[in-house]
Amino acid sequence: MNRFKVKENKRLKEKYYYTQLDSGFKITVIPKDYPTAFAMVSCDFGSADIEYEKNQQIYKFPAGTAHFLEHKMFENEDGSDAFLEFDRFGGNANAFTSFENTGYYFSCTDNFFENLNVLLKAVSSVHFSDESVEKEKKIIAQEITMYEDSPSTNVAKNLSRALYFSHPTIHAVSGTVESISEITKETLFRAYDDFYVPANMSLCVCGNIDALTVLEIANKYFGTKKGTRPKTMFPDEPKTVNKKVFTENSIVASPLYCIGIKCNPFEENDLASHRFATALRLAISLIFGRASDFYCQNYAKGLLNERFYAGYTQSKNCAHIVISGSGSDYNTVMQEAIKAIEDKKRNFFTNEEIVREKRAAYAESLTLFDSGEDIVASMAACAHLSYDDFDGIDALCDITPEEIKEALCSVNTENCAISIIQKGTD
Amino acid sequence: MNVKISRLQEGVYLASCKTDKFKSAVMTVSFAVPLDSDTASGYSLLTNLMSLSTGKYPTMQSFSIIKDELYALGLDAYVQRRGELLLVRLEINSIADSYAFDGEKVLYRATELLGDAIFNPHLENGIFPENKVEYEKICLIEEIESLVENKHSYAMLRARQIMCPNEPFSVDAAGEIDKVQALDGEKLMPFYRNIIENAPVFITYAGEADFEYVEECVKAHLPFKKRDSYLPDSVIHTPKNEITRVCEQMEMEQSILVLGFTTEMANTPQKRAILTVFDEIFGGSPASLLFMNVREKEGLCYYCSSYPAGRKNILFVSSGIEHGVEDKAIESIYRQVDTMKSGDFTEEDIKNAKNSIVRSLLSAENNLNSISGYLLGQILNNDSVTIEESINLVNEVTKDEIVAFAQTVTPELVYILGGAE
Repeated sequence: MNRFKVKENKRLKEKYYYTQLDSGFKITVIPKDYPTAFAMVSCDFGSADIEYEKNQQIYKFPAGTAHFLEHKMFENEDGSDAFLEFDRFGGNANAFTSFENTGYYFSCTDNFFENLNVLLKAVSSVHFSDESVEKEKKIIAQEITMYEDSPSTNVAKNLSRALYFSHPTIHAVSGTVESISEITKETLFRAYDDFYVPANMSLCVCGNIDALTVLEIANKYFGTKKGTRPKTMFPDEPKTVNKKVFTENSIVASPLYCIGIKCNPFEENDLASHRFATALRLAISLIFGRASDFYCQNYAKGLLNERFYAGYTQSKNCAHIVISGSGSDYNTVMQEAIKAIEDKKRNFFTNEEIVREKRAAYAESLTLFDSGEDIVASMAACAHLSYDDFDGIDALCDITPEEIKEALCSVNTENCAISIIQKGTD
Repeated sequence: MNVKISRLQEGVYLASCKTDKFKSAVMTVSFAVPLDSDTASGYSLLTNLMSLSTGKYPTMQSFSIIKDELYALGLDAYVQRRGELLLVRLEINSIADSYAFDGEKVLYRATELLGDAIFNPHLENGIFPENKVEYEKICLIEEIESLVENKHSYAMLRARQIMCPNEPFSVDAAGEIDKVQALDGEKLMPFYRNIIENAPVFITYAGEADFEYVEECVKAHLPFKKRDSYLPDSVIHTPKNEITRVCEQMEMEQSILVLGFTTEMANTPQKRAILTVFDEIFGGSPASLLFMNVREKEGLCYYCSSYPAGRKNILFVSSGIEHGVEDKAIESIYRQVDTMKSGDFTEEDIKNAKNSIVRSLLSAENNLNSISGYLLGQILNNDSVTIEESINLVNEVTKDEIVAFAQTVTPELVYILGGAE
């Protein structure tokens, strides 16, 4: 029988147990004393994975395939719904798809193992008919159009299209009404067979739960099936931006903008790349955070408001800084933002400022461990990586000012684009 | 749940929950005033100003720096509609003292800062500084205008306004543009004085600190004087016994449909339990009739849910649908209402619904915000019951009671946003 190992973190005062089935399926159990227990199965298959290599052949999916598959996963062989089974055992289930992965989860206060059986059974097999796939297209089309009616979603989506030429981040997670029209039950079977292999999946449980029973149940569903994850192919993406300005009209109170600066992506999502991201996020927060000169002075000038946000995202083969907000003078915001970044490369922050920023970031990352739902989502995804949230908080605490400066200096502000939603109708 | 409720003064209440399950802590201060379209804008603008600075930290930057030093302390001020009350709320989110470096007393200092924001706002010549007020007016007006960017919330607000035009229920807590326009630094002062001197105050704390220590922090930094504790009840909506159909054009990819119903007023804990079980079966969960039929069976939408209005005899159903299928969706939703009326659901459905509600009641202890919400309910409503009592009431609900409640569900509004008609 596979043995659990334990990992502890003194800062967080937390520990977890982890192991791996012979098939490569990973299991993490985090003891927590909440009234509700949580469980999540994560598959390292998201909207980014649309082109891949298997047996020296290249395959493609229509945009939105991972999300479509997620919608169909809770459908049983006889056409009934796993939601109703969860309901019977008092489980509250849901699922999501992101750019990086797909998660299926439930929470319950009772019958944990019955619910876990329902979850693992649902995810360990699939059933599609032409008819049920066609019906789901109608539901997903309504989901897609719901997002299209949200200007704040559109302004972010358009920024990806401005920054990138062909990287899959230009597609919405759910795809478009056109792209999903190409999806058939064969597409979904292929996606399932190639990516839902145990070695590409993980289970994370958070609660007062017996780890050995979790292992036993997981072994029943994911113990034997073999296979490895095919390699996702990413197109060669230039360092420069696709389009400097991307404008669209919509019903908004005042123009919405999203400014992006394309950064160097990492091939591997490992602790070193995570550490870089942490350093750059600290720099961005020091320059644009609520306590910064940039924010306070430009707020006083009437250039910014509460909606202003600045951050850095780094994901499967793409990385960029995002600066967003609302207001008609977005060009000045962009010029001032670039000026602020360039200025800080030369006149770096004081140690006092860095210590304060790190302390604030430490406090913010503590809150992740105050929610069972957030814990399973984060730790189930971490199982696909070579580091976890424990390593992440340690990296944050011992990051040096030099690393922050190096991360900031690697930013080339010439690779900058802006997406704008103007007031008006198309 | 380890809860202590105390009356610090007449009209000033504190409810705390001691729990060691979290690495952070939440304290909220809520002033309750009647929801009124003449005054909502003033309170709304007031909270925007109170969250910017304090007398001791008068600039945005000095205020942000002290919050960062206090471990990224969150200090927010905002207004919230609750039935027909307006809550003017200030809230702090801090890390638990046991996670601070070198034994710093974060809660004590955070409460001190909260007290400064409440009792010592940044004023110039005794009023809110005009330049700040003018800019916050611009920001608030944009915030009110931007509601339309979230189509679902906007449609729900329009449905409330159309169905209950002269009731406080239809007032948007954020305020109204022309009323915000008319405010200035001096006109804000009566709003400020009213919450400090007259409005009942409800304080909650959830976190690791002992009751005595929380009370010590509150007494030291939040010394509210006694005040009247009276709160008005919600107005009962008089059913019109006819269906009003309103369609508002907006350039949108899909239509938002909101159906308004009147129901029996759930004005006792027993009746609220019946309403909760009814709602769970009808449209409150993925196992409900609305989700299983309107979405899953008929594929008409991505979401279709019911929303009973808290402490008001009104229920809404909302869904995002393709243009042109409005009537098909309306018919389908009415069919689910009829199913409820005819009692065409099983004891098993009732049992599952009850389990789901009990689970969600028990889950209140999963996070600090839901604990805070529970604590506020305990001191704000004079007929509040504990979680255990709620569970018992839910488990006692019978099929006959659910069906009897369903008979009172009467359609009164069809509101379509964006559809062609």
